[in-house]
Parts: sequence; C-alpha cells; structure tokens
Amino acid sequence: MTGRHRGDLPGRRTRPFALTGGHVQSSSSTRITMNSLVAAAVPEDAVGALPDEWRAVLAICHGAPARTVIVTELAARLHMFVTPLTVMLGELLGQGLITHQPAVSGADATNIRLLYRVRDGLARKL
Amino acid sequence: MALPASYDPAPIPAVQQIKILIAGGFGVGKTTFVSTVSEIRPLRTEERLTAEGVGVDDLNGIENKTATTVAMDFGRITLDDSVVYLFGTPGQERFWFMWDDLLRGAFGAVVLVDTRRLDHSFAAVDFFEKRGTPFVVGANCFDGRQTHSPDVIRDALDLADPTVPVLMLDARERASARDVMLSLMDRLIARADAAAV
Repeated sequence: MTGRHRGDLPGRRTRPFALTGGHVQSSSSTRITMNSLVAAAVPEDAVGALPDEWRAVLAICHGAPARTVIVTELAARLHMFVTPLTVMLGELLGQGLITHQPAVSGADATNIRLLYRVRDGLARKL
Repeated sequence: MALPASYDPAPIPAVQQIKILIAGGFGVGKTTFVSTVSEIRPLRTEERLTAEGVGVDDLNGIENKTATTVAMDFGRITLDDSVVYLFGTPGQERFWFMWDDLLRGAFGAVVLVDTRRLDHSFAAVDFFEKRGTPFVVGANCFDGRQTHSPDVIRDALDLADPTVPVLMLDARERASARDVMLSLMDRLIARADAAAV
C-alpha cells in the first residue's frame, strides 16, 4: 500500500482530513471495532486507482444486504486480523470511501419491542 | 468525475444489530450450532492478542511480550429490520478477557455443554453469571441420545439462577437450534419486562 496519497482519488474534492493521510485516530468517536458496521459510500465503479485491499472492502460492502457489513465478517472474508483491518478501515473512512456505524451499546438489550421483533423474525426464518 | 446520477448517496438506514455469543468449552458443538442457524457458511475471524509476558525468562530483563492468535466462528441471520450476529467464542476462556470487543455489546449468550464433559463449560457459565449476561444452556446430544435430564444438568452445573433454561439440543438440527435461540430471546424479553416495571 505504498504510494497512496490524495492524488489517487482523481476528481474527489479535497477534504480536510485527507491532508492527514487518512489518519483519524485522534477522534475517539470514530473508533472502529470488530462490532462496527461499515457501508460503501461510493459506487463500485466510481473508484479509480485504489489499493487492492481497499477495493476488496468496497466490493464486499456492495455485495452485502443494505451495502453494510460488520467488521468481524470483513476480517474473515479478507483473511485479515481484526486490529490491522480496523486501522485500514480508518483510512477508508478518512477518504470518504466508507461510512461507519458504531456498535450498539448493551442498552438496546432492554428494548422490548425490538426483542419481540427479533424473536418473531427468528421463529419465521429458522 | 461526478458520481453517477443513479447512485443514491443518501445515508443507508441504520442496521439494528443483535449480537449473540455462542460459548462453551472445546468440542461442545459451537461451530456446528453456528453453521446450523447461520444464513451464510460460518466464517472464521482471527485476532492477534498480545499480553505482557509474566515469566522472567529473559536474562537481559527486556520486557517480554507474547502474542497469540485466537479465532472465533462468525455467522448471521438477516431479519426484516435487523441482523442477528452470531459470535462463537474461542474455546479457551482465558483469552476472553484479552479480547474485550468480542464480548462487548452482546445481548446474551448460548452456553453449549457436552454432558460427558460438563466441566469444559463451567468457565463459560461462571463468566456470564459474574458479568450478568443473560444466557441459556443447550446440552448438545452427541450421537442423538441424551441420558441426562435438564434438571440433573442444571444441578451439575450449579447454576446460580435456577430459572436459567436448560434445553436438550442437537446442534445439527435446525428446529432444535431454533428452540434454543427462541428460549434465549424469551429470556431477554422477560428480563426487559422485569426492568421496565
């Protein structure tokens, strides 16, 4: 993944965080974990010269329901350890190539309407 | 290069995620269980964990770090407006403490036990009891037979809460695995009900 810089994204507007080379570690609210959901933020055919690993991430997102994949699944499909993948995803996030939905907190476990919907859904699907 | 007009850049609706842990000792059928209920072939997710070495095995006194690769089974079930994610925990519970994110955000757990080797699942039961994570026990019937009753298994596991469901299970059978999942959901609903009163 050498030689990657803003110029690799022809036509994309310069974003302030692109100037940092995509490093977003300073913002704790964007921390990506194995429980985070990521979605492609660009069409599959709109990406130019990107590293193969980045393209693989976008391709998996585009092939998934709602274009959204949990990081745990991405790691397995890409044969990557979780932590290096989360660092890489931080770079894609910084470049605006993906969006990121943080993991739920345990608080949702007491959302009774959700729990009933999930129970009904499992009863139907399994 | 503008985005194609056909592309909808609107934010994708948030996916409601329900994370369920599938736990238990080595060889109790975790992978089989995930495989039976998952809509995709189970995947294997790996993480490299490091911990400070505790031994003094270095004459130079240099800080010693050990790295271990741990793996979990992953599966999912997509529902109308939510996705159930199944995380099969590594067999060695001692790694769970090092792998915080694996346990974080879990709604509940299925603890699988092999009645011929109940002690292999003691650590998992103990762990979830201490953390207050709701769980149900599934006694996997290997070779399709189960000689113990749920009550006997409950006693042998010494469950702190006598209302924890103990179900007989054949992890290869979809209906059987479904009953265990529904039992866990009932448990979560009852708990949420009690908390709302």
